[in-house]
Amino acid sequence: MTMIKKTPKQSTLQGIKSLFVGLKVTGRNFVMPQITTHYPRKEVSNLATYRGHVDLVPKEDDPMTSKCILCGQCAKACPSNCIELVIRKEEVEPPPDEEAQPDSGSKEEATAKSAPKKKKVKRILDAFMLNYNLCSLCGQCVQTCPVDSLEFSTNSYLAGFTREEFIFDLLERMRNKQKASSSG
Amino acid sequence: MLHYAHEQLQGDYYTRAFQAGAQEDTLIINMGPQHPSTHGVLRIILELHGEYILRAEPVLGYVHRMQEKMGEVKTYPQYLANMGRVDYLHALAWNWAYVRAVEQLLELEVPERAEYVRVITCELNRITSHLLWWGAYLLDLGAFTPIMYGFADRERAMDLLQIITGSRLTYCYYTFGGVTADLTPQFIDGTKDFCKYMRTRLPMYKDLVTDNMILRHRVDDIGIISVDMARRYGVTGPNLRGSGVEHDLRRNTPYSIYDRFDFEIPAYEECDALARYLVRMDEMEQSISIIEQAIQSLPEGPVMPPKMPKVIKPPKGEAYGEVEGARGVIGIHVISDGTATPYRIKLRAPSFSNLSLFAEVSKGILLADAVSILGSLDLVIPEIDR
Amino acid sequence: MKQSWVDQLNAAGVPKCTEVRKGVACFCLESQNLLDSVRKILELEYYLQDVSASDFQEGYLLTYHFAHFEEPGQAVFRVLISHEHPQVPSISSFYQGAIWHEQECTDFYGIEFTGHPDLKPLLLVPEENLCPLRKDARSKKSFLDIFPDCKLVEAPPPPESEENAGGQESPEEKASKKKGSGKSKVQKEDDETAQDSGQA
Ligand code: SF4
Ligand code: SF4
Repeated sequence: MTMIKKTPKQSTLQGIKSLFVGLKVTGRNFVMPQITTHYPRKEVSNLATYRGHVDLVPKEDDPMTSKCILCGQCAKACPSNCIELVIRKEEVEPPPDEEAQPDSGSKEEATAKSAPKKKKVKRILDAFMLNYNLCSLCGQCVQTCPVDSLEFSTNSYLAGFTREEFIFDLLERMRNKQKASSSG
Repeated sequence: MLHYAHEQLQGDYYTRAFQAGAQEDTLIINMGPQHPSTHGVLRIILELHGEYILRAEPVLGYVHRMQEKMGEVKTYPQYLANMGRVDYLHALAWNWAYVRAVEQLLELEVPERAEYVRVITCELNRITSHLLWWGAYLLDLGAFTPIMYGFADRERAMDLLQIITGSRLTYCYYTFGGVTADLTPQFIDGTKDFCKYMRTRLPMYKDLVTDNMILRHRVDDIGIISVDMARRYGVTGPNLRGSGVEHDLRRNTPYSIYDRFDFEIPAYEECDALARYLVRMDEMEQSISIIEQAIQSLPEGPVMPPKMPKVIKPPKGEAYGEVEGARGVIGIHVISDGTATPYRIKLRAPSFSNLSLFAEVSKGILLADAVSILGSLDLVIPEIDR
Repeated sequence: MKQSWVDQLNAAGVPKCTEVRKGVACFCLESQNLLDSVRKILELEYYLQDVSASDFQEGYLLTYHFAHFEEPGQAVFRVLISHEHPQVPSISSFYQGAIWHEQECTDFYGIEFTGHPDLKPLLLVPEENLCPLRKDARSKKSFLDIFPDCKLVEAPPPPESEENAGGQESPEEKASKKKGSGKSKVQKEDDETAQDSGQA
């Protein structure tokens, strides 16, 4: 189907001509508009598709809490162990109206059998720590999250002097962002 | 000077070993590890007689990261991110080789659209890789402007890949069974424009550089790699096709959907640096043609199989994922023991084999030609060192 | 009529292949037969893809991958050597490309390739003998467990029995090749059958 070609040979005359052809290309490009971007006066146009570090996604109805259900799968999937969930356990009284629910009957029985007056333990996300120093932006965490609670930020202007500046609390980041957007 | 121990004056382990075989009245120098023409940290010890190279020995390992050990301690999906770091110029081909190996183990079926997406992105990535090689090679040979043109065009392709993959260089885009994100209309339109644009640029490259008399003098008849030598060293890819062998996995053992496209395998019979140069220039054109055909016949559908196992645990056995990368045959040999972690992963890096012949090919040539040969081999050092 | 590539390999006297999987012919060799087979496969114009080692309970398994520039198919040579005497002849006199691959195996496992021109460390620091890919006893798996259909022998077996094994398997080889068990796409299976029939 394909042929093995021979490299084309050049005569001296063709060679000399080639120099002028090349100069012509250079000359044409010399008068063409500049294609580089002069940062910071101008910005490149492709920042919207930049995939930066991960961010937590807030709940639609409650912008101050994240969608995260604290399953910890993202932390397990991460190849470089950059995610750490800080979880606080809190004992809460089961709300009284829960007993009234018909479908919770069997559960209630079960709990009643094992521990009659046990209070429900609620796990609360205190902080969602991301060590961006180690992150390879592989996307495993985003892909494994069962409730789509993680997304990539487009945060491309990230600079710092110390490593500590790249250890983020994503929960705080999310809240700050929500506050800023609601106030602003 | 008095502070140096005698051993330090003698050079390091490799220099000492090299010096042992030196002849009288020759000069031993280090080219690299920080040499502009080695594109990374590659060191070559040379024994020179005047301007002629008597002996050369590449010293590797400066960016060795023990990728193969990492494969044995990470789970299958966790290792995906490593693939883009092995060869940062054609990262998607490495992605592909790895997912192909694991898909063979899992006997996963890849949806048709995902295959098309893989072909389009992989070929686009091949163009970026060749463009960078083109610019960098000419930079080695002393021409400064081509890299500017090459980078400007490569930038466009990288912007396109950024739309869907989110990264610019070390992509981690393919996943077992498909790809992580579908193509967007923005990408498809942009790629169509890019193909049209590149078709106007390639003739310009030819005018500017390929036909140039000065380039011809630097590459013609330099660095002859015979077919027999290629076979003994395992040279593949454009380097082999420059020796007149039409070997391309996309044609020889058509993986994925490459058998559906009409494209040529450029090959030149001269075996020299010029032939290798021309193969790559022609290959870019073929890649454009493949992309255009793939976009035209892009089917609708999902990009991931409907049912994916929650935990990737391939059955016991082995698989060898082979893909034609920009530098040659990429092979990933995965041995699975039935757990979530590979038992053994061996990466076959094309550049590793391509560079191994340098000691033989550089015997008796001029030092300046060694630079030309190194560049024409299109080496990526992280891939060699792994 | 053209022989299929597996037949060609077998006819050329490379010891009978013991396993064919999706276009891969596997030859389990003993280290004393290795050089002979490598010479033959070079005569058949195969090129060297890679040389790698892996650590199993039974010993170090060396895997040599060869493929052909024109024809499809991959030939795999497997050699098992014991942990106590990790020695294997170097194939670098036939395939010079193996020099680096073998040095790499020495780096990672401490295997000694006899006849190698210069077995110094390639990728790792020369001052230490690290052998990072050696597995500890707990994580070592059995070779036969992972490759159950590979009849591998460490001690030299009686030569007749090996030939018998090869002869028995040849019809199965073709069947398994046609099935293309590992291929992920139906499309490709068709291709492969087409290729087969074209060659036959
Ligand atoms: S992107 Fe990858 S490396 Fe970064 S946090 Fe997520 S899983 Fe970890
Ligand atoms: S995987 Fe998602 S839901 Fe689970 S802990 Fe991580 S962010 Fe939260």
